[in-house]
Amino acid sequence: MTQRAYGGGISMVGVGIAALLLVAAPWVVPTSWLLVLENVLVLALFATATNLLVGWTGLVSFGQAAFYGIGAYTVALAWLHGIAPFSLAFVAAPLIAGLIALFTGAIALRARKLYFALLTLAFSELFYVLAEQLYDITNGANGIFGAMVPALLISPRIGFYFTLAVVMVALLLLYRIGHSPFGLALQAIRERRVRAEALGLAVSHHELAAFTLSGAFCGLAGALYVVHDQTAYPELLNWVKSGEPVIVAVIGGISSFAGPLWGALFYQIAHDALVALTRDWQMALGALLLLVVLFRPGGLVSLLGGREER
Amino acid sequence: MNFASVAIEVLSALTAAANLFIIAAGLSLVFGALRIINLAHGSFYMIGALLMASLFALGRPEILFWPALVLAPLLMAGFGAILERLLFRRIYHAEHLVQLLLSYALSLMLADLALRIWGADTRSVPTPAALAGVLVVGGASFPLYNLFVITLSLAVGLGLWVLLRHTRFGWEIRAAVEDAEGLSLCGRNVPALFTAVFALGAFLAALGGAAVAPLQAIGPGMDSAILVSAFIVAVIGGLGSIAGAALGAAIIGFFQAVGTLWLPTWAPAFIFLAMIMVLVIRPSGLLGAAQRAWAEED
Amino acid sequence: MAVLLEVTGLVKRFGGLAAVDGVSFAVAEGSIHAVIGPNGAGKSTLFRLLTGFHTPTAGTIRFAGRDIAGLAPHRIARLGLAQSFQITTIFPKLSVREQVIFALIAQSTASWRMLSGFPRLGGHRDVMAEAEALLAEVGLTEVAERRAETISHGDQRALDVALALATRPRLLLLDEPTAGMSPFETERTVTMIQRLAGARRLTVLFSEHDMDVVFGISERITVIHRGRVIAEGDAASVQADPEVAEVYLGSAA
Repeated sequence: MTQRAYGGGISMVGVGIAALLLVAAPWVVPTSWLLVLENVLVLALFATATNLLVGWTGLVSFGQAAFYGIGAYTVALAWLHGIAPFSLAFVAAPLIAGLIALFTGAIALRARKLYFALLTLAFSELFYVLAEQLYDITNGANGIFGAMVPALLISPRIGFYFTLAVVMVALLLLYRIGHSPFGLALQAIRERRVRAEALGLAVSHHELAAFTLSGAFCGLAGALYVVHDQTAYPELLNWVKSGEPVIVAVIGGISSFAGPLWGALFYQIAHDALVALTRDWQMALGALLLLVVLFRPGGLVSLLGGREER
Repeated sequence: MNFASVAIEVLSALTAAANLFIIAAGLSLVFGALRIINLAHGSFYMIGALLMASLFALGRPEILFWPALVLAPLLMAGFGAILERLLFRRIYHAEHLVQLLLSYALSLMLADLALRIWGADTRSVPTPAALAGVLVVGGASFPLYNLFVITLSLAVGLGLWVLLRHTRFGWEIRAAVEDAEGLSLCGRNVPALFTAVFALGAFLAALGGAAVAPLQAIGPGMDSAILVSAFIVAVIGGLGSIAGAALGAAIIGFFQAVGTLWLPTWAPAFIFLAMIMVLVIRPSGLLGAAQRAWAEED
Repeated sequence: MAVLLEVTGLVKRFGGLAAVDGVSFAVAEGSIHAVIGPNGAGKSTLFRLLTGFHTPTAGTIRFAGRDIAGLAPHRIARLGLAQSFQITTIFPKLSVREQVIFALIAQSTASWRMLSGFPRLGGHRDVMAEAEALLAEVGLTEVAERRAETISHGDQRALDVALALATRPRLLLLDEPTAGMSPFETERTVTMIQRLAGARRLTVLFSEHDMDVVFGISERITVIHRGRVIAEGDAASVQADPEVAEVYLGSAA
């Protein structure tokens, strides 16, 4: 039986320590840090969901923000128009995002490689434009603000625990998916699509399933963003936002499950620190990305453990 | 809605399309020859416009306009050549994720750099006196400068056609696309050729920026705004095809004109829908090399 | 012997050019059958038609009593027609064992299990056992944990064949199985083909440039030239055929 560590930067001890630290955090760190941590958690989920496509299946999507934004707008619109209570909207968010991912994926996956990336980017921009232009429904560029989240969740500690619990369960699911027979099939597609097909794998169905799942989890991340910020606005759906989870995953390391998690932690903290101290966040991010792409394609994780397994 | 206002709308849409063609042609040229996707192309455009503004600040606009219109793109071309040598040369054979991210990283850095040098305020460039007037036809007055931009784009299209089809440089580019190794075996300096192509692409982006300078406010944000439009134009026409870029620009110009006149809410969505439809039906674009990129397999 | 694969009037045109121009032949179940011909004869196109990576312009391909012409590659694979590629085609970053397991489950609903842990595969202990048996059969047990890109070229070819075998094929299609091999590796491959055909009652259809291999193991040989069949028979009759001799001498000249 295979005994190889499939963790790759994930050890049970590490996960345990991280969980303990996170559970203790609300009692130890100031509230402002808690909000940063919430951002990290949401970004970690967004990037890990995106990495199911980029790192696992080899599908470079520059359109995942469409599903993130749809998740966020599901919660916000349900409140704005009094369609459904928060709890129902929150559960519906990943389902609706997944459903829309199913349809857009069926179209975008007709293209390969660069053209797939451009098609996903076009979809992202399409949804962005719709969110901005359909003023009567979405408030247009102003976005939606207000008490769309139950008062209970706005309390920093409870909000944090809620986000933590949802992200942990989602990450566990994504981990299981990534390391299931299905996840193995996705990796085979990434490695050699033609051969996977010649061996009898229904490649396009698996790709579409991966795209749908990824979209649903991105939608969940978007819904969590609303819990955190109580707002939804068009820029959540555009291509710049779509680039974010890809960048986070690449910086952390796309070939391991832990990569996007480390990437999210590093990205968010570096972002907040640099934005507070200087105005050179973009320069620093660009330089870091450049260095990783050129010299450390394995990402930060490859610095930590040297293992590039998943 | 009278004839005059429709005519003005159409002219301004045509001007935007003409300018988009100049920029998208550079994007397409670089993709066709070097097989790389350059997300920093919008930054080159912005820098072209900013250089134009800076050159203007040096002295009297009526004298400086023409030299600046040439000098700003030339400076950007030189900068592009440096970037090709330092960065892009390393990723010609890399997977597309690397190409997209490296050029995106560069665009972030250039945006920050531009902010440092030129600041966050928007600038404006005056229209040169010779082109400041209007042409009155049938009760509608057309700004001369818009007509100039359209003429310029036609000249660029013609120039590129001559360059690529009727000069040794163009022949070598096409040969390099087919078989770079073979060409270098023939004693041609292929790396220098690629640098020249990349510089030409940067030149075109900056020329678009410099030409549009008198028509709009110049400042941060220009880069990402133009990038998506230029991509749509290049992709609809077919990445790698200059004629395709012209066709794409015409289509987008048409959608923009029709959209702004009758369906302002839906116009931007139409453009993305058009791109999606073209990619699904003709994946390599309307005039792209048929099936080549589409059938590309591991 | 029953016919397993029957090709009738198969045509594939690219633009105006017919790469395969009315090819007909039959492969008997349990036989080792070679397709030979000079470079550019149309063998590769023929194989791509059989495996579904090209759609025929005209003609039928009957496999196990079913017309498979124009079916998607994964559907054809599921009917029991497996191939090993001319250029070794494995999954470089997966471990040897992982990809054998993948090949075993690629056709089944097991590849859709999203939450059962890998490598335990839930209730699929039989898959694991089968993977071990297959690894042993092609001599890869030692390197099972290694990533495929790190094992020797000969091992990679063996892995390539193991992947094809994992789909439990009735017909194994080998495109130049000894291309680029040393005499020693060729010997190993030839022995393996014969052993597989015997032990697994596998039908083998292969193309090959090495005539010693062709005449050494083939029960039947089909000769193709310019997209058409010019001769067919056992080794002796093909060797004696004047047209075949002319094609090979002509192309050598």
